[in-house]
Amino acid sequence: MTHASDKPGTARRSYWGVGIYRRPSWFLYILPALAVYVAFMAFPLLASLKLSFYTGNGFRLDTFVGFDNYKKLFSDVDIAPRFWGAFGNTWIFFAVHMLVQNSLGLMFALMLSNKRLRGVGFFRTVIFIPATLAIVVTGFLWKLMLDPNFGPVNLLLERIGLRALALPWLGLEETTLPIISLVSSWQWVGIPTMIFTAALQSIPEDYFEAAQIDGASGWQVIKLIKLPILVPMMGVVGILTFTGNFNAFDVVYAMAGANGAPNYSADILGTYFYRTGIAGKHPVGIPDMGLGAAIATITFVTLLAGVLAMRRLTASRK
Amino acid sequence: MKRARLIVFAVMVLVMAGSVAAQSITVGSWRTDDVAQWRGLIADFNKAYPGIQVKFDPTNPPDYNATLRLQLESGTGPDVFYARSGDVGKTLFKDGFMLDLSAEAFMGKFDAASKFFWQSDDGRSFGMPLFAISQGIYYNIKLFRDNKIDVPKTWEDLLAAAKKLSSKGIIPFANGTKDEWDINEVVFQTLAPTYVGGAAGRKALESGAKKWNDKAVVAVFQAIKDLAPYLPRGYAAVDYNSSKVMFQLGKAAMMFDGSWTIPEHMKAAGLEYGVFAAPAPKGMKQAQVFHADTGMAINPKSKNIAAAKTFVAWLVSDEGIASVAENFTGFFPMAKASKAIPFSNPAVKSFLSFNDGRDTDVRFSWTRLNTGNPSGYDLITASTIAVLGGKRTPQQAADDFAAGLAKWYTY
Repeated sequence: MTHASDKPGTARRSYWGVGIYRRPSWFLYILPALAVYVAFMAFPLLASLKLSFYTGNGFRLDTFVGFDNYKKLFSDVDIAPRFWGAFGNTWIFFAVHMLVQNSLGLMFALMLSNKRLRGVGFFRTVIFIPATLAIVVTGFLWKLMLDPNFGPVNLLLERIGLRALALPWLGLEETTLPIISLVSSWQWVGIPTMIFTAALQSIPEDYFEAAQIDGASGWQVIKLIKLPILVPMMGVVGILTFTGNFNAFDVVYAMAGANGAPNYSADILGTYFYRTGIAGKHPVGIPDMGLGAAIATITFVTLLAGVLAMRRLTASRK
Repeated sequence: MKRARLIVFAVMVLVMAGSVAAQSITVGSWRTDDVAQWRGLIADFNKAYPGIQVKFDPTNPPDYNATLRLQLESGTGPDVFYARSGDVGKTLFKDGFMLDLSAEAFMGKFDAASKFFWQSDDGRSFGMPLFAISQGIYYNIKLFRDNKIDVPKTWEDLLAAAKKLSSKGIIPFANGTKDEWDINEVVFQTLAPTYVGGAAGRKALESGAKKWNDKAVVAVFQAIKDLAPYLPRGYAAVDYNSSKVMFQLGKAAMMFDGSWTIPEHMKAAGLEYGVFAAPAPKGMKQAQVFHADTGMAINPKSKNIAAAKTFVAWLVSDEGIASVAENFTGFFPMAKASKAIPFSNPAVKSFLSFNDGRDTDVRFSWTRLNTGNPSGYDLITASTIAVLGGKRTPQQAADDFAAGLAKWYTY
């Protein structure tokens, strides 16, 4: 806690002199960022919060309805199942990413940090390439791969005698969401891999030398040196995955359409919000923006609560 | 005196220059696929009216209604735009975003039945009927010939043909359910008019003379169930584009689809295809979907209403109708005069012949059932897919449909 006036040379100036001179200056530095933040983040956020209490005709929302939109989402006979379905599906989507994408990311990072592995650069590139492709491309690619009649996945399953397993993967209510979650995990696995790899590279060489001298096994090195150092990074990856998944839209839209077909089984908050607040439902296509804003607000609150909880979890580990 | 004349002349020139520069109109549309077609149409229009510039400015189809509404509300809407028939169009008109066209001379070129779908409940016209589309079953001529199958005349013939194809390892129908809209709009709603008894039958349901789970509605779901064994393996994961590809590659022998797909099939190399109307069961009369699809509306806030009207009127002049028919294969001009157009494309001719001597109607859900919560449209989709998957019987599906409508439908 060094106060500006504690520093030599400024001590003799009056409090006001320092204050007037210094206070505006720090403010000026953050002013551009603050202005951009307020104009493009805070204001729209608050405006959308306000919209969630209104309803109206088309795009003119002029009737204040209090918490009606929220009540509809939580308890209307026809709307609530859609909302809770999308909410639950988003958690499944998130769980698959945590289990598959982040575990694989951790494994890949540990493998890539193994000094005896040859061709590290090649593997790193291969793991990261999907993350550089547009979801429209990867979604379409996987749709073709999983096609029930011509897709290589099912042709392969049949060839090795597993015809019973050659399912219409993107047509069954039970499989569509898990498959889409896996495709998304496949696409983004490079990100946690990269974050974990960067953390592993920051471990000083002495630790490993000391471990070697003490005769630690490879597993002991991982368990006692690498993993403890990765824990804070796991928190960061968890938060990134959480925010990414609760805002996700494109992968489901590309592979299951705006309805999350079949029978809304792949509908997540992103697609439900798009359908309700932006595009409207086919074939009428006029959105209910107030209801959409309510969905967006709930998504925001969920994200806020989730991120705070995760920060607390990982912070206490320090 | 000379000076005064000069001033008058100068003012006239300025006014004319101003009016020429202002003669530019934008056309809003949900058909991003039709840019080339519109280029042809506009070129023909400019032969007659070189002074009016027309710009075709389509929106991504799923976003069209929302985008258009937003543009109209914020005053940046196109001068002329595609108008949805039925409920969606009525709402825009009620909210003042479409010019009342009832008194325009060009509306006289249509019969009452065609105008009806772009009219408010009190009979005012908000859209000029531009295109109708037709629906039926495409078939692969070569596969039919190789397997000695004739074009089915009855529903029973159709199922027998499907069974025969299936036993030879050919997919009978290419349709799937992954995209949801196609199983509803091009399968269910192609079949519905026959079973419910055309427009009169639809109106009987809408007015409450018959219940929504009437045996006629059950019969439509029964027909859907009949088709279930003949869809592609894993049809639940087959989307509309895959269906078309399967048909074009000759993997599937038939496909329920609309007349708008003709241009795509024309481009498919080596595909020998024809089209027939979805047949009625023995002893029943077949009714045909001839769907009032696209109207033309004028933005009342347009700065060029006169030019917009000139353009819309030209579309139903003799040259306009001919140009529409020539450029938009698979879309049918709706003016009375268009009945005389000598179409050359055989599939187009077949589609038109389906209307001969048959009761025709728009798509079943389009007049009253597309709105509401849950919308009749969504209920049809859900029930159709449930019947195909064996999760509901046709009777249960019709009951679900009626129960859903009971939540909001008012007679």
